[in-house]
Amino acid sequence: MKSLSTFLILCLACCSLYAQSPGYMGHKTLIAFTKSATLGENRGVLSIVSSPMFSVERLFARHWTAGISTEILKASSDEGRYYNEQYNYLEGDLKATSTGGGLFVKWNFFRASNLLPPLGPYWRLDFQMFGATTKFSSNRPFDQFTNANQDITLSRYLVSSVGLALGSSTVILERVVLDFGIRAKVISPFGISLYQDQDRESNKNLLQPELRKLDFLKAYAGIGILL
Amino acid sequence: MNLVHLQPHTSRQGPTFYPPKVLVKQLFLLMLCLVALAQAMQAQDYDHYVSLKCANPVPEELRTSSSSKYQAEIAKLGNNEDSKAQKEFLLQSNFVLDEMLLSGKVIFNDPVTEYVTRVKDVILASRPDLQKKVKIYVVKSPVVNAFATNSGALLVNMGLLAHLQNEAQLAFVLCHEIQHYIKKHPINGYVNASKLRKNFKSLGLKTQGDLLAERNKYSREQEQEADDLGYELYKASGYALSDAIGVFDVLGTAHLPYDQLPWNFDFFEFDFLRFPEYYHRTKLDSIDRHEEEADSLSTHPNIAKRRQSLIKKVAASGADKGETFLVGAGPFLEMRKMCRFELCDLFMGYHVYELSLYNALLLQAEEPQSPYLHKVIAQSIYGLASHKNMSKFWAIHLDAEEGEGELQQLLHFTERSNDDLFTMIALRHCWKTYLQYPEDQELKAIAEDMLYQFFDQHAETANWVERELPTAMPALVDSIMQVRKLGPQRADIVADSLAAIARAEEAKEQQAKADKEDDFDERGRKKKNAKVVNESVSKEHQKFAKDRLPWSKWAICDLFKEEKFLEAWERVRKSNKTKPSEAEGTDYYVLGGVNDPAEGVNLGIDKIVLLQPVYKRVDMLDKLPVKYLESEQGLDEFRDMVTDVAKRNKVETKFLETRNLKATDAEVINDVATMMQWVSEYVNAEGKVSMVNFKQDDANAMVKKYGTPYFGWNGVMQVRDKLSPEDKAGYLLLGIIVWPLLPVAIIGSQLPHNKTYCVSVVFDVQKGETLMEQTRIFRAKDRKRFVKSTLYDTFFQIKSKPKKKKKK
Repeated sequence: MKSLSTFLILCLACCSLYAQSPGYMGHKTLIAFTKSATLGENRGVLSIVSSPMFSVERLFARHWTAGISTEILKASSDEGRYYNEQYNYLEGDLKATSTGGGLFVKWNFFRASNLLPPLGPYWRLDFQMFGATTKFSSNRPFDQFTNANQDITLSRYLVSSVGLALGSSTVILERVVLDFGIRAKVISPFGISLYQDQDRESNKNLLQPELRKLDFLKAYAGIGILL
Repeated sequence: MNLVHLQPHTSRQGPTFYPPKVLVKQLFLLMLCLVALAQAMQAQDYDHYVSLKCANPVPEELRTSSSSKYQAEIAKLGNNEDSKAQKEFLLQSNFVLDEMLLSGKVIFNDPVTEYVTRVKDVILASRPDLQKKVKIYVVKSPVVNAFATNSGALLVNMGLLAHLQNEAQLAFVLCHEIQHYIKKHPINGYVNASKLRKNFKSLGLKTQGDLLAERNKYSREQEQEADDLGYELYKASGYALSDAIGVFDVLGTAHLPYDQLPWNFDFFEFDFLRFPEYYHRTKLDSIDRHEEEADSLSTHPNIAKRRQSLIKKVAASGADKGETFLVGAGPFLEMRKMCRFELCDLFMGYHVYELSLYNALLLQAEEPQSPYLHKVIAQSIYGLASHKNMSKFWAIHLDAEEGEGELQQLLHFTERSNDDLFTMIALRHCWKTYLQYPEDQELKAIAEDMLYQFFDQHAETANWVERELPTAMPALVDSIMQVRKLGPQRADIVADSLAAIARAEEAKEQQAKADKEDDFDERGRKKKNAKVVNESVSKEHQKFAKDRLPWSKWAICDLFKEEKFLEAWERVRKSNKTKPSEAEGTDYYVLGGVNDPAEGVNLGIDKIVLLQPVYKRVDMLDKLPVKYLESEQGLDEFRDMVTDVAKRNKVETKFLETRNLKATDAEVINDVATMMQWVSEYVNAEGKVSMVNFKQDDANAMVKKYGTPYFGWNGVMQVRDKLSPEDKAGYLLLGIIVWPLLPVAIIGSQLPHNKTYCVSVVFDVQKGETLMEQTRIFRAKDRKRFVKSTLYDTFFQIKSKPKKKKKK
């Protein structure tokens, strides 16, 4: 992963070497932290579910920016059930965490705004790969022989997603970028299974649709620094 | 000075010895001689007239910012019911006047201004306080006018000075304007207009027309007062009283050239070109002095009333003992001559080529051999022909029906001449002038461009000339001497006979060509159409020669005797009618062309001169739309931004602007004026008519002086205004589509909106090309980040090296 990131950063840097893109006062690289949020059910209660994203992007053409991002998405449910080898039944919490990253490209629509990136409105297209892990946890023991605080990994998948965002950003204090917009993302229903717990009765994939739903449409706001 | 005093004391043995007193005197005399020599050197050379320019020192008021002057003036204002209107007036007048004074169209410390100032000093000899306060500025404008400002600056147009008949008339005009200043008419007029607007209903005014009539009535009273009190000042100044009345003759004919000159067709005619009656106006309208016009909606009483009032006063004053010239007749005539020469340039600047031509012809009576006037005439004819060829003639033409006097014949002639004919006339005249002054590069450019226009716009005629003239030339040259003996109809006779020769020769040539060709097809049968084709070509040619060029066909025939012309003719013909500027510079580097701001250009420029940056804030919803004070402050910030982004992009910049001037910066004002004139000529040419820029020589000098051919201009304007109906409809439509947002859309559609325009232009002055022209509009206030980002991009494009293209 590390070498992949290095490779991607190098590629972006090479792309921009010959780029005729001015950037904002010559600054073409942006490191940003973004928080995206949506309305979702968390443990059965309607609430704002937010997720963080960290990205590095660089202008490579007059209206085009490319970057890499990493994002963490979490969903949870208190309807988890787990059966151990002895078929002891246990109720607990299910937690699904998608951690992934990928590439994105941004295109500023200059003709509408007359602004060059990083200023102004843009479309952004994301291609991401996620490692989605579902875990069961309970603070009750199955029986007298097992300890409390069970934390069992039920499944691990590798899934891909495609996202499209419509956003706008502005610059304050010469180097600080504020970014906001809405994003739609489709997580592929087909994933590569990396790990499956042997117990087939557990609701190990219960949260996967929930994750897809939560990530389908989001509003986001971010802050970044120009380098 | 007694020359004896200058004899040196000599000692018997030693070298010559000069006692200190004599040495001082000698030095003084030497200084006087040097000053006289310098003045003689400065005297205008009318053969190579150079337009008047500002000279050092720059007056104090031009070195002080408008806002400082405004603050100083409002500090003097007391608190009264009119103070708000007075402040408004002072704000506007200070900024508008400064803008004008620094535009380069107003000159100072030049011979004309110095002369007018001397007349002013004579008038105010008994009022030293006023002598200091009243400042004279001469405006480079052909309009017959003068006006006073609240600050004591009297602006006198060159158009007026060129029309005046004597010094006394100038003195009366100045007296009139000085009284406007003394009586504070400008500010009082504004306050009165403000009161009228405020009390519109209570004063019983019903329409805007009523308001205007009331305002102008007050203005007419002020003008009459200035005439009356001005006459008193004039009377005390020592000028001949009756001479003042002549001013109204000048004002009555202000719409005409300063003199009458019968239009002589000989100017264009020669042995092979005579204009038919159609071009001659049989009756010219007499000159209408425009004195009795209704003045109820005018700011001035009509001329007849003013004249009568003055005549009465002069009659009541008794004996007329004054002088017509107090400063001197010589200086007056010299000053007027300079102004008349300036008019040539001014009329050409406004593209009124008919008046610049007429004016130059008038001046030729005084300076018949002046190459400058020959050039102005060629430029004017070239300008008219170029506008005709680009179908823009009617935009610059003065209607012959509205003309009066002798000028009407010239206007009638230009109106009646079709594009074909006028181009040929212009071609001949420009080439004749160029051949007379072959070292003049501008004339060369004009002559060659005329040839390109001829080939480009009148290809059919050019082709005819191409076919006919070389064939006819030997006969033509031989017959010139005989032609002169033939009498009045000589041109037609010779032309017809030459055409016949040409036709016969062409037919012969065609026949010979046809004979040479294989007249038999591959089956051994003789081709049927060999001779028929020749006959049809000949018929077509004869028809064209008869219908299209009935009498003007030989209009340029004598040019074919000229080697330079023949060489140029060949070159243009072979170049496929493409101007060199259009063909060069684009084969290797991607350079030039007005760019699309979205894509940008790469100019690879290291050094650029930036002309007068502009920053304006305008609120269309306010009574005083231009926010002068904010604009002045904004300009400082804008200028800093430009400097910053240029530095970041490593572009060396030099501002050529009339801000923060020093006493020794008159040259800066002159340079700004020169470049602004070039830009004005260029922009006109780009937008309407492609022609040689008459200011190119001056611009080339600027290129040399500043060490770069690249000149740029940046400007920002923020406008606050109501939404346009289309934008309002857009808002409401959005509200209907996304219905929860409807209340926001309704409110939004009613609120004023801001737009910011960022404009950047880069010229290659030497090549006469626009390398960059971009306007970006933001639907927002002039936020620094937007302006900075745009400016940075502009300078980024300026600096970026052009991409190399593969050579074909």
